[in-house]
Amino acid sequence: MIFGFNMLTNALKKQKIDTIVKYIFMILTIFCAFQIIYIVLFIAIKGFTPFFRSYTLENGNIIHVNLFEMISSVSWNQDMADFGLLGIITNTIYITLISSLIALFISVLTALFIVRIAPKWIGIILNNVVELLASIPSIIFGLFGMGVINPMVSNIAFALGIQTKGGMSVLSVIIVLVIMMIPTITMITITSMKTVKKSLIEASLALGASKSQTDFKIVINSSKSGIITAFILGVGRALGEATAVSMVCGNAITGPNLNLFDTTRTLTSTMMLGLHEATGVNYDIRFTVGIVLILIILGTNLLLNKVKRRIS
Amino acid sequence: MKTIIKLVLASSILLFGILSMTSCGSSKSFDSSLKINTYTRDTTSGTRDGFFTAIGFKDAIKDDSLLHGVTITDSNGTMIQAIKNDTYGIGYISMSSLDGSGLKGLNYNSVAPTTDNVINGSYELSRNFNYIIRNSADMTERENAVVQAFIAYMNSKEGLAIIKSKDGILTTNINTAQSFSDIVNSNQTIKNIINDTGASVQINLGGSTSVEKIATALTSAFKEECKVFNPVHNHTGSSDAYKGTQGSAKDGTSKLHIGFLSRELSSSEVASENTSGFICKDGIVVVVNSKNPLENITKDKAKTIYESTSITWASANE
Repeated sequence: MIFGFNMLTNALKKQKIDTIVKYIFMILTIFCAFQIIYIVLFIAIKGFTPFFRSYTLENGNIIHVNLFEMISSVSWNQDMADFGLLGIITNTIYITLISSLIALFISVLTALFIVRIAPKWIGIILNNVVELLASIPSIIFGLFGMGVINPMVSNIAFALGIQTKGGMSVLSVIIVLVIMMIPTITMITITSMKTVKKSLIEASLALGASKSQTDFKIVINSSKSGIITAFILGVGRALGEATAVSMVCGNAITGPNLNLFDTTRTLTSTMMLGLHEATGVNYDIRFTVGIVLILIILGTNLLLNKVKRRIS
Repeated sequence: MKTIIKLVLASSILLFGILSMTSCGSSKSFDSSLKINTYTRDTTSGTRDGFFTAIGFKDAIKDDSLLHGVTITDSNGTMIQAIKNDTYGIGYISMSSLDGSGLKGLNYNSVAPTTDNVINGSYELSRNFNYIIRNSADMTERENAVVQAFIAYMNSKEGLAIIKSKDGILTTNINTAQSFSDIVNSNQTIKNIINDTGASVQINLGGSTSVEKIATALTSAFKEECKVFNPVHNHTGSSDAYKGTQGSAKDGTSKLHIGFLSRELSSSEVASENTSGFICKDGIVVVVNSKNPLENITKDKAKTIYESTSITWASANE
C-alpha cells in the first residue's frame, strides 16, 4: 500500500517537472520570438524618423528627408543632404548578382567533386577544409582582401593597362564575397547531394549513362531544392556583409558603377562608413538604409523561394 | 583518375604560386605619367577637418562631391593600408600614426613632419586645441569648483597622459607636471569638491568635434576622481565654444560650461581673463607610397591635387 502511494507521488512529481520544463522552454521561445519583433520594430521606428522630422545641418541649413528623392536620385552626400540611394542599390544588386552566380557555379562543382568524384580520403579532407572556411569571421576576409586581393587586382589591372585605386574595386569585392559564399553554399549542397537515393544513381548507370552524365543529370537535378536553399543563404551573406566589403570597396562617392576596376559603394558599406562618430541626420539615415537593405533581402528570399517551389 | 587528381592538385598549386607572386611582385619603378589617386577620411573625421582647414579647402570638410574621384577610408589604419597598396595614392593621417606605418610622410612647405617642428610652430599642417569656460559669475559655486578642478586635472600629469594617449602633441614635459593628488592637496576648493558626495553637478561640454575624442577621454577619467561630476557632451563645432560659454547663446538651451576649439579664438571672440587656455597641438601628415619620389608638398599643391578631376604626378611636381 505504502509502496503504491510512493509510486503515485513519484509519478506526480515527474509530471510536475515536465510541466515546469515545458513552461521554461515556452518562455525561452517567446523571448527569442520577441527579440526579432523588437529588432525589426527598433530599426523601423529609427529608420522612419528622418521622414517625419527636420534636421539642422552644421552650416545652418534646415533639411527634410524625402522618400521619393531617396529612391529616385543617384547622388549620395550625407552631410549635404543628398540621400539618393538608387546608385548604391544598383551597385549592391550588381555585385551580389555576379558574385553569387560565380560562387554557385564553383560551389556546386566542388560539392559534386567531394561527394561523387573524389576518392573518399580526399573528400573527407576537403569537406573539413570547407567547414573550416565557413567558420572564419568576416573581418579576417576583409584583412585578407586588403592585404592580398587588392594588390593582386591592382597588378592584374596594371597588366591590362588600367590604373586602379590600389586594387580597391568592384572586382575585389566580388572576389572577397565569392570566397565568403563558397563554404556556405558548398556545405549545404554536399548535405543535399548525399541524400540523393542510391537506387536512382544505380538505375541511371544501369541504363547506360556515363558517370558524368549521371552526376549532372541525376545528382544535381535531384538535389535542386537543396542547392537553391544554399543559394538563398549565400545571397543573404553577400547582401548583408559589411565589414569585409567596406574594407575593399573604396567607398566611391559617385555611383552607380558597373566598371570592374573602379571603386564602388554598397548599402552595407554606406551604413558602416564613419558610424562611430556620426551624429544627427548622418546617424539616423543609416537606419533608413538598413530598412532598404532588409527589404531587398526579403524580396530576394521571396523571389528565390518562388523559383524553388516552381522547380521542385 | 588518380593522374587527373594529381594534375589538378599540381596545377592549383602552380596557380596559387603565380597569384602570390603577382600579389607581392609589384617592384616596378614609379611612373610619374600616371594619375594621382586621392584618398580622404569620411566626413565625421576630425583629421579631415584639420587637413582641409589647413590647406585652405574648407568647403570639402563636409562635401564629398567637391573631391572628384576620391576614395574614402574610415580610419587611420585603413588609410595607411590603402596608400601602401596604391603606389600612386596620396592621403593624410594623424602624425602619431606615421611611425611604423611604412609610408612616406611629406614635408609641408619644406618643413619636416616631426613633433619638434609642431611644437616650435614651423610645421604648419597642425593646429592648437584650446578651451574656454564660462565666467565664474555665470556659474553656481559648485559648478565653478568642478570646472576649476577639471581644468586643473587637464593640466596634471594624469590629464596630460590621457591627452597624449589620444594623439595630442604636448608642449610641456609630462614628467615634470604636477600629479593631480598634489594639486588637490595644495588647493582647498578643489579638495572640497573632490570629497563632495552631495547631488551631482551637470557640466555641459561642447564645441569642436575634433577635440571630442580627447574631451570625452578626459571627462570619463575625471569622473573617477570627482564623484559629483556629471558631464554632458554635445560637440557641434568650434564656433559654438565661445557662443555657448560667453557669447550670444550662453543662457540658451545650448549653453556650455566648457567649450573646446580646434583653432585660436578669433578677434570677435573676446574671452574674459583666465577663462581660456591651451590644451595641446595636433599634427597631420600628408602621406604617399614609399616608392613615390616626392619629398615636399606645398599648401597650394595639396589643394590643387584634391580639387582636380584628374592630375598626373608629373604635372603635380612641376
